Amino acid sequence: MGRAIILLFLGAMAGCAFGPVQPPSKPLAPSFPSNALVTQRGILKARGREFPLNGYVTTSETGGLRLVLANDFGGVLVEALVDANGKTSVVSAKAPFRKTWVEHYVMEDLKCVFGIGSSTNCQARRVGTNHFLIERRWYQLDLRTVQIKSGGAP
Amino acid sequence: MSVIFAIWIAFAALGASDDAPLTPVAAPIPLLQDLQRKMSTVRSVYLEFSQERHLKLFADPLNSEGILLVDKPDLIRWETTAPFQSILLADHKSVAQFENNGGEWKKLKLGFPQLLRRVLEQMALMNHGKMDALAADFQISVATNATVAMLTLVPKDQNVRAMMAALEVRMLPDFSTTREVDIREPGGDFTRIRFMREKRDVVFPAATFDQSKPADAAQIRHAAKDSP
Repeated sequence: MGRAIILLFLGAMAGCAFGPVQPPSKPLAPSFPSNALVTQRGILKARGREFPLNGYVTTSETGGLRLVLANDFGGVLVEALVDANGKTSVVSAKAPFRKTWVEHYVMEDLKCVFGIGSSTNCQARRVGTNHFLIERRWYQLDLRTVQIKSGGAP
Repeated sequence: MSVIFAIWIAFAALGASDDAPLTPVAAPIPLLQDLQRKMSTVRSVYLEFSQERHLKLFADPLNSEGILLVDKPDLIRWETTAPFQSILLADHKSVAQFENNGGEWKKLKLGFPQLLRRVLEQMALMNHGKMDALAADFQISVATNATVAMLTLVPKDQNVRAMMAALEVRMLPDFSTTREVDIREPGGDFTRIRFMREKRDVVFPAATFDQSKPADAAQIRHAAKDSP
């Protein structure tokens, strides 16, 4: 079943371009508190299909991030770390996500939204107080911050 | 997978857990048959749940809450109410999901509907209280003490077991009520679902399971509150 999921997902991702995107830019200005647990709800859209995802991000005192990306039923899809300089480490990636895809896109988008690093290839924009939109050629991610709690890092 | 099991326990009721040592039941089949009989007599169930996701990466559990509704023969609604709002609906032939964006519900064009439908099929089996179907997919064992019975279900499929090591269900010794389910993962992470405020044989509002415009949760809560 796992292979089928991957094939379906990749098929959806590769089937068509998403359309015109904004010119790439630098990461957004940092707007999240340190030492906090940030819960985000995202709808990933690719080839006309939508995939709900939950993102849990802890921000450290030193400016690093821990990310857990989960599906609606609690299953963890991605675990990853980012240090204050923007160096990333993907701890795990499960179907339908592939590690290289996570490294190239998920981590890039994470750093853009949380204002880390010096990338000039950000496609994230803030469209509301707690609302972000990421538009790349192959996908769109509608992302909302739904909860911020102090603490949370081990 | 948590939905599947939540549906299954929806046909039990609420109960208590106990930390005292549990003694394995050597011949659990009569107990499971009794449970199946009890599940099969229930027409509909309303449950509120809190879900805690315990991950080694995080010091505190990740919490969410919501309601679970089941109506025979095959209607299911799993709704997350906090920290975000999302409704998953299913019947024997289709599934639908709605997201609340700034107060307005939007129906998603779901990816992987076939997988959700597969989940639905298993839900339907649970709905009918077919423990034999469960036994086809899980190795089931029972252990009890004076105040609690715990069912442990270990997936027979190695691929499933790689994602979910076991399900643990804590019920009253007579299997009349269940309050808690733990979903164990191989690496030690687990999800704990606690159920509360159960109502059985609720007459739900007409649009509760409507896959075009589902009824609001407040309306459903009101109907459940009025049920005996």
